[in-house]
Amino acid sequence: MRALPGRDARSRATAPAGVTRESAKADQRRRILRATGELVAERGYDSVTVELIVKRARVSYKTFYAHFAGKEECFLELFDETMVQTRAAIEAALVEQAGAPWPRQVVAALGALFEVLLADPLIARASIVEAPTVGPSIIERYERAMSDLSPLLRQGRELSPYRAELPETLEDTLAGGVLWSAYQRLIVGQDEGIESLLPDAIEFVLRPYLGEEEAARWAKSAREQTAGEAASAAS
Amino acid sequence: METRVDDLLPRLDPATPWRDRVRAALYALHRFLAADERAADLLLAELAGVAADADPPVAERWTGYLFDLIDEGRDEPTAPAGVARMTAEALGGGICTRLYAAVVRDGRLPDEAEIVPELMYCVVLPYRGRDAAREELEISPPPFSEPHQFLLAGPATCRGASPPGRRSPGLR
Repeated sequence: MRALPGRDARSRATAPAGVTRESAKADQRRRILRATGELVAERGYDSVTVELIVKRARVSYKTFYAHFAGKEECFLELFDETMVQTRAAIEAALVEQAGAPWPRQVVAALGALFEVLLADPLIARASIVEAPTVGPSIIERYERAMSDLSPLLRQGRELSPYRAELPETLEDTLAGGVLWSAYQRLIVGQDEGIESLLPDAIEFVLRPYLGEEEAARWAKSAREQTAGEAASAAS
Repeated sequence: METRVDDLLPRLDPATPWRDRVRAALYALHRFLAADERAADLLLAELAGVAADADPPVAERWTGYLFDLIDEGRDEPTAPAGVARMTAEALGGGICTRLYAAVVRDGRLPDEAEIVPELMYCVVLPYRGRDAAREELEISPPPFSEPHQFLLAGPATCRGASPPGRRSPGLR
């Protein structure tokens, strides 16, 4: 079992301030999920035990088992939650771009996806990199999540002058390729590499539908925007 | 499995046109995986990066080989200057995840005559353009003994593989 390289082991799963019973319970659950994600990203799923989780989350065994039947159920919940957040971020970006040309929607969706990965690379690593090692219970969910982008990409066929020749499986290959590239950077801890990947990813997915020049134009625009944002952040 | 994967790594003559070498490699990969269900499960999970007991050297050798081969497309005279290394990585990764997804979803690899030309379309398009990519959809699979023939030279023979035959001009 490969443990992921990486991050400082200190957890964000700190103890809660005293509040109501319900919010304390929700906070316990959040800390358990957080601790599970951190530990899985650091050590690999197989090496994580409930003992490690309760220590990191600073909860008792009783509390852990009041929320989850075991480690697998806990991790599945973390995975589902991460996927829900990712889909919500992509949907929000698409709502913001409603009515915009399809290439702009693709740019927005990829941008939202990469933002989610960058916002919490540790949990992204746990969910994307380690999830498939959990076993059969997660494989189908994982495959479904990996092909989430395919329907959006498929819309490009309607606009494409090349639609008659585009292979049936094109979208799965494109979406798989983009996620695989992001995934590789998460494995080696090159989180910052994900951001610089965005323009190339845009060009990669738009090229088959729009042609070389048009895809390059959208990628250039994304590259300039990323550079502009980096410059304003630096100043 | 490692020995067999090493046997699989095609030793392709660099003088052979790039498209022919990529096509030979993809058919070789597909035929190797189709001939042995267990090898397909293990290798594809490793290539897709999702095996619980992944052997990084095996996966890295294969992905490194595949990505470098695809990336040679940038040396094609028709390749636009702006094509990034990421294109080869994403194409190689997309191929691995596509095959893995098919095994997970359908329990088997798609037929080689369906999937390899489609994958070749995706690979050829950024480097050789639309016409060359379209041609790939019309190219039939090579005779079964050709691109994977070298598999039979190793100690482990793939189930279902045909006897050694004429070597492809692309293999040395």
